[in-house]
Amino acid sequence: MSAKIRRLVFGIPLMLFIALAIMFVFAIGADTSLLPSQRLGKPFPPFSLTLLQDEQRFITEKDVAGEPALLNVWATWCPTCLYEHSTLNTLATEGVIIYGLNYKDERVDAQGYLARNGNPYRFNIFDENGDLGLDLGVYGAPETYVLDADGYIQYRHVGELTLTVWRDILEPKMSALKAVPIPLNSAEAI
Amino acid sequence: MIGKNRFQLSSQIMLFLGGVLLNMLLMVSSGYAAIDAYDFKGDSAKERNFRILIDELRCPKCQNQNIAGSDAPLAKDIKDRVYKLLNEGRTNAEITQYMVDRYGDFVTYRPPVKPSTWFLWFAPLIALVVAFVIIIIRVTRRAKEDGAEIKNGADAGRIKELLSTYGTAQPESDNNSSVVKEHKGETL
Repeated sequence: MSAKIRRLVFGIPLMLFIALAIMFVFAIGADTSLLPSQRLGKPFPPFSLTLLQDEQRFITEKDVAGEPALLNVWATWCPTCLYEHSTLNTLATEGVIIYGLNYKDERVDAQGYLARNGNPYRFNIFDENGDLGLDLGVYGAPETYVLDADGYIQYRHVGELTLTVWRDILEPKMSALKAVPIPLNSAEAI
Repeated sequence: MIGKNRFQLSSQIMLFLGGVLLNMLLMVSSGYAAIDAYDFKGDSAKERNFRILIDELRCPKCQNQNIAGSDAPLAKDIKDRVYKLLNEGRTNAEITQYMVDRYGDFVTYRPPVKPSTWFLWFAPLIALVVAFVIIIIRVTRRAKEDGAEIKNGADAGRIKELLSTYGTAQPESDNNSSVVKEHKGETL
């Protein structure tokens, strides 16, 4: 066998190995459970569900449009949600509009949770069966969506919402959205 | 001599490929237990479609499990939705697309063929072809080398010497190819 071919035979696997090793080094520490949202740039999925605080009152996707806002997916069975709750309270006092999506939860438990820990939400959609969650592509709580004034989904953050995440990612997106002129049908408040 | 050498190698390759195939068949089977909660009222075609779908849909929460094999609440939600959509008369392709629209290509174990998944789909095939080409080149080259060296006078003398050492007679017989091979292996 000529030296050239021998070099190839030993060199190719070596090069493949090095390429793989480099790939793996970059993959270390990356969260493989993070999935990109399929709903970015799309309108909020249609729904008709009751308010967490009022089981008689139905709300729809029109109620989350109007102004740029956050939509926070949470549940009482979700430990990280409790962990990020103080961040949500802080943001609410700063005037950020936050809608809640109470996801696969018990109504009474969720009401008690808000009474205990404070209520940063403008209102909460009560999604007992996770139907709206499925339409949004929710795969775990907490998730936080950035909605524009038309109710279009502009960003999704999966996992704990910290003040750092807010400052570095969500707030710049919100201010960019606020810079866009508000459309005519914006006055619908709940 | 050469013929047998080649035959041994190719039979090894066939054995290996057979093993690979068997493995693939074994991996196809997976949990069907979850179907019992869904009543298809004797519509066996619908039930079969349901099985195909829950087998091919991947649970976004509990990664590396299909929704058939997962007990996660989200897997149940997706199964419920699949059941509902089937009863609405949607086709398997429509339902898969419905889930892809919500959870991305990640949600299906049969990702669509598109530029970003070409590597995923075709890399194994390319690797197989490359491996085959390399094996064939090497086998034919070695066969040629074997032939050339045995015709060589010096080697013929060495063979005779070896045969007398190991005591197996009948130098014309095909059986001795293995002895030649062994020795060649030592000196390589």
